[in-house]
This record gives sequence, structure tokens and C-alpha cells, in this order.
Amino acid sequence: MYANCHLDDEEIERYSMGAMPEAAIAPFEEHILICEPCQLRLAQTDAYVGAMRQAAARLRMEPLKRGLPWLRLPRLVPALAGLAVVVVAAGLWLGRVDTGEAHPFAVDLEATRGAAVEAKAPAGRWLLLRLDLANLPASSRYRLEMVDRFGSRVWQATVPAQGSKAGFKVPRTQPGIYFVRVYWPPGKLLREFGFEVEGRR
Amino acid sequence: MNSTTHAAMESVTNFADSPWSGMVEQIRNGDPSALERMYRVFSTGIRFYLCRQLGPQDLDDRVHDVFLIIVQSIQKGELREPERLMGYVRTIVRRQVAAQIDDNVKARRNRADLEFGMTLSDHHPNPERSAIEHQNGELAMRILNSLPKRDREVLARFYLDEQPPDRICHEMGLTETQFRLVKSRAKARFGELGRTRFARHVGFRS
Repeated sequence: MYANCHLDDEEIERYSMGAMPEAAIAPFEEHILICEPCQLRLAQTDAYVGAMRQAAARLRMEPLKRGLPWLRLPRLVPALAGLAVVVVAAGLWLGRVDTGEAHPFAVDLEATRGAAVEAKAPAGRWLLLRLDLANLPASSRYRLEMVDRFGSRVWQATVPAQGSKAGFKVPRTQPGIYFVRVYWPPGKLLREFGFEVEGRR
Repeated sequence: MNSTTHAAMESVTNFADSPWSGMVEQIRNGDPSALERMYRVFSTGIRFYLCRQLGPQDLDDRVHDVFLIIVQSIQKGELREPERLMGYVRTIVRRQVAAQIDDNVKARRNRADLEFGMTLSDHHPNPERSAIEHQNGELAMRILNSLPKRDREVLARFYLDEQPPDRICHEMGLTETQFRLVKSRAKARFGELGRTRFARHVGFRS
């Protein structure tokens, strides 16, 4: 298929992001195995996609500071602080202050590589964990289990697969190392992902 | 394009034009020059694939193991369609990756069971890789900051939220061409700013 030509930029990006249709993966990877220029382009695209995700996540975390500079005017600080106190107090009174679920922190998890746990997430926020399910046995749903570093289960659920990805939200979590295990519904362990919830600095 | 790349492309084109059967047949017959040729064609690709999936640890050993498996199975006659050599190599590499991940999972589980109060090792990536990732992140941040708000949102939706292009175009009132332009301009800018670093740091090379 790609015998005498190079891969298209869009295809490389789709593959890098895990969004390539299953049927297109085999010819793509067969070409990658023998073509150095396309290997280099894929490595560059991986770096670019990773950097963009990292930067976009940072921008999302500081939207007020960036997008609405007038909020930084000193004269508004007391008013905003007062308003925040009122809102939080009202929420606590109602017993359901947990708006973090609507704006979770997105974390892309990749299958564990060696002993390293590279994915990071901040403590005290809802997390949107996104898993790469490429190359796993096909299933419309997978059972997920999140355990702490001692293997104690802290959360579990069954989630639908969306292409070669699955995403799910987990509530605010304490700092520490966690592992997410993916099981085939009959119970077979398929893959494990690691991530670290970092304490506030 | 450097001379190594030229040489690699030449070999790719030659093998793509001619069937793999000849080389497979020679390997079956124990011809060392065929082994050498196969190593030349596939070694960088296998190294790249393994490094991308499993990281740089023990890379040389893993590449060697994969070659051993491929050669032995060809010699045992397990490759029934020699013209499908590329697909066969890919299957073996993928199996090795899956087996390694499985081993890591089991090892970690056993360790956690045995060592209740285990000490944590340093899980951070090596300093060089960490520095490169940090620099790339800063570069991307510079690019996003230099863009209009709408373009920033397009890129965040695509790369961070992984929304499909048609949904982004629909919700943000963009044509497909406008969407592609936003993406390609940002990527080109990133390439310009980081070109020298990319050229120097490609982790899978030996």
C-alpha cells in the first residue's frame, strides 16, 4: 500500500493520537518498520502532540488569569473574595459543593513502560483519565479497576470503548502512585497504566 | 535528507519493488548475507517501534530477541507466505511488546504483594528526556500564546479533548480548510522553532 511513497501527515497524526481506524493500522505500521524518514516524522509528531496536550492543559488550568485580565485589578479582589466565601458557604450548607466534576483535569495514560510512571495529575481535582486501548482484544466495554501502590482497590467501573480509547472520570484523589487495570469483561487482565497524583507544592 | 536516510530509502524501495520471497528463501537456506540484509532493512524500524512502545530500557537486547525469533521461525518454515514478511515482522514485534507489558504488570503486582512497605524508586524520566519534554512544552505554550483565542481553542479541542474535526468545525463555525490551516500553521511554527532540537534528539537511535 505504501510501498513506494511516504505516509501522509494527517495519517501520522491520527496514528500518533491513537485515532487511526483498526484496519488502517497494519499497512501503516508495516511501512513504518522499513522507512526511516517516516519514523522520524512520527517521532516528531509524537513530540508535537505531547507538547500541545501539555500546553493546552496548562492554559485550561489558568483560564481566568489569561483570558480575563481585568479580574486582576486590585479593586475587584475584595469583592471577588467576598463573593467566593458566600458561594462556598452556600454550597457547604447545601452539602453539594463539587463542581470539579464538570471541569476535570485530563490525563492521558499509556501502558506502563518499565518501572516508570510518567503521567502526572494534581491532587484534589476530579480527573478525566484517558486510556489507550489499541491492540487489545475487541470489546464494546471494558472493566476498569484503579488501585493504589499497594494494590488496594480505590475505584472500579465498566466503561464503553470509543474506538481505541476509553475515558472516565474519577473523583478527587489523594497524592500517591496509582495503577489503572483494564480487564476484559470475562475477567482477563489486559493492560495496566500507571500515574502519579502529585501533592500541592 | 542525509546520506543515511538516502541509503535507507534506497533499500526500502528496492525491497518494495522486488518480492521478499528471495530473501526469505536465502534465510531458510542459512545464507548469512540475507540475514545481514534483513537486519539492515528492519533493525531501525524494530528499534523505533519497541522504543516508542516500551521506552529505551534494554532496547538492544529486545531488538536482538525479536530478530532471533524472526530468523528462527523463518528457518523452521513458520512463515508460510514469504511475500508477507513485513506483516510477519510486525506481528512478532507486537507480540513481544504485549508480552513485555504483561511481564511488567505481573512483576509490579508481585512486588506490591511481597513488599508492603516498599520504597519508591525515582519514577521520573531521565534528565535529558525530561528537559526535552519541558522545552517542547514551553515551545508549544509560546505558540498557543501567540495565537488568537479562537485558534487556541481549536487546537485545545483537537489535541487535548480529542474532539473529531467535524465536530470542532461544526461547533466553531469553521470550514475544513480553515481547521486544517490552524493546525498546519501551528505545527509548522513548532517545527521551525524546534527543528535543531528534533534533529539532535531522536531517542530510538542507537
